Amino acid sequence: DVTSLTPQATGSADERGDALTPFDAVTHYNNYYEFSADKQAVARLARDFQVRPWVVEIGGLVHKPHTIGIEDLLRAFSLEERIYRLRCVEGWSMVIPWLGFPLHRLLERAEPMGSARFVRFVALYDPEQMPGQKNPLFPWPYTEGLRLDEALHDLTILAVGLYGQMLLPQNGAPLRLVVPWKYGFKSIKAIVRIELTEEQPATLWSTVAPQEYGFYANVNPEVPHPRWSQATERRIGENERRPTLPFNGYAEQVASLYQGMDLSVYY
Amino acid sequence: MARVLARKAVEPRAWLLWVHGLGVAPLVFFGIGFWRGMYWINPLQVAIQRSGDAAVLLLLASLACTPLSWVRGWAWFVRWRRPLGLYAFAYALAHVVLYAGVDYAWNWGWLGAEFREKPYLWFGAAAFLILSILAVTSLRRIQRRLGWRWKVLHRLVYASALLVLVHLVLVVKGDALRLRGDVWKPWLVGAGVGVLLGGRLLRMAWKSMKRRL
Repeated sequence: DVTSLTPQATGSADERGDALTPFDAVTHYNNYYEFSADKQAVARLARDFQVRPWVVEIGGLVHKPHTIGIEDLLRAFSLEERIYRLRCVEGWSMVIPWLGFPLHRLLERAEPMGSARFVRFVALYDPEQMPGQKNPLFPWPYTEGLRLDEALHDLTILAVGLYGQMLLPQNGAPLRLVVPWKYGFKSIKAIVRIELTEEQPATLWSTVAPQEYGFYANVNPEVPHPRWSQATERRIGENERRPTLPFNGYAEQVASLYQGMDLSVYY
Repeated sequence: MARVLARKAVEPRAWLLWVHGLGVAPLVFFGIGFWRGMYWINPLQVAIQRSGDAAVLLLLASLACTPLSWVRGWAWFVRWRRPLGLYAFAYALAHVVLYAGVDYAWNWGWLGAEFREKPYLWFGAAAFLILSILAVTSLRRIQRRLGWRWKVLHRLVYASALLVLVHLVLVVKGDALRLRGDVWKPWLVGAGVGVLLGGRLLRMAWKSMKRRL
């Protein structure tokens, strides 16, 4: 039982000196609509979620399409701790010590074709285990996407754990994406398929409300959202709002990906 | 006649207890949830949402009193209108104070930017303004002084409900009109407002027709 282990991260703060969000908050405040729209109900509803056996399919425009079981995946890639800020589009944020590996390692193994320009991610569809998927108002399964250069960026990781232990179901076990400069909903959970495509893939939230959720969804205090402030945010555990940083504080590493793009158009 | 009188006596003698029970219930539920540690991670987000929900529910409850009072023997429901409306206003006030005062710490720069960007705030603010006016003019002294104008003024409560409905349509995660996303709340409230306002309009039409006949 992983929950009985003491959560241990090797670091205690991110590169800006922001302290880690407590383990209990990270594991009990989850935006995971497959289970519930109530963030504090997800941990309970996901308790019995089966994360084994689990197979991930890598396909589409690659020379070596293949499927890989989660155990083989864990053996094939050395895990590293990455302490990232997570900024939710709802205006709250956390600092989380993820355990994972850069997505580009997996993609390079599959050898993307020259025609591949985007990566499409698909999450598990299993309404029996994920009661929220019985809600017909969402186009299940959850899908997300990245431009290939974003997917290959070293900051983009596939996470299998946090706080030094395997992911709990509520955090997207057994395999999830983490893209720290984008709003949290881009970081799709419980991935079963990764597919390289030529066309920009449709994503769940941009299908639900395209005027609010763009494909890029880069954290950007300059581009307002019709509901929540994107200029400021509330760090979980803090009482005062703090200004939101462009690209969630990773501008130095990723701003060049978007050179010449009007980010208020490509939001 | 005797039967009507007998029915009238059915009004629960502890009617104030019922009304205050309804009014305080959302706060009690929130308190229990809070005490059980269900909201500790981001209590403010929950408190803002729940106070808004409570305001809408009590506003609908207050609007339901008039149609309920048409039922023979239930005329006493009219007396529930004012306290329930005042409770709705109290939750709306909490909603506004939690949002602007606690979350945004009365930071007018931040709030100004929010208001420039987000139309849902305009509708919410307009609804709150109406509820505030109605709350102040619900004082018996002012009520008496306004006379027939009071009745006209307090019909604005329907405008307030419609503004709240637009506020909800704009504030939910998804696209309420295209039935996509987490959009059940505006549809539920829309149905409620539709039935209550529609009922009153139908009755008005019916009565004016009967007068003409």
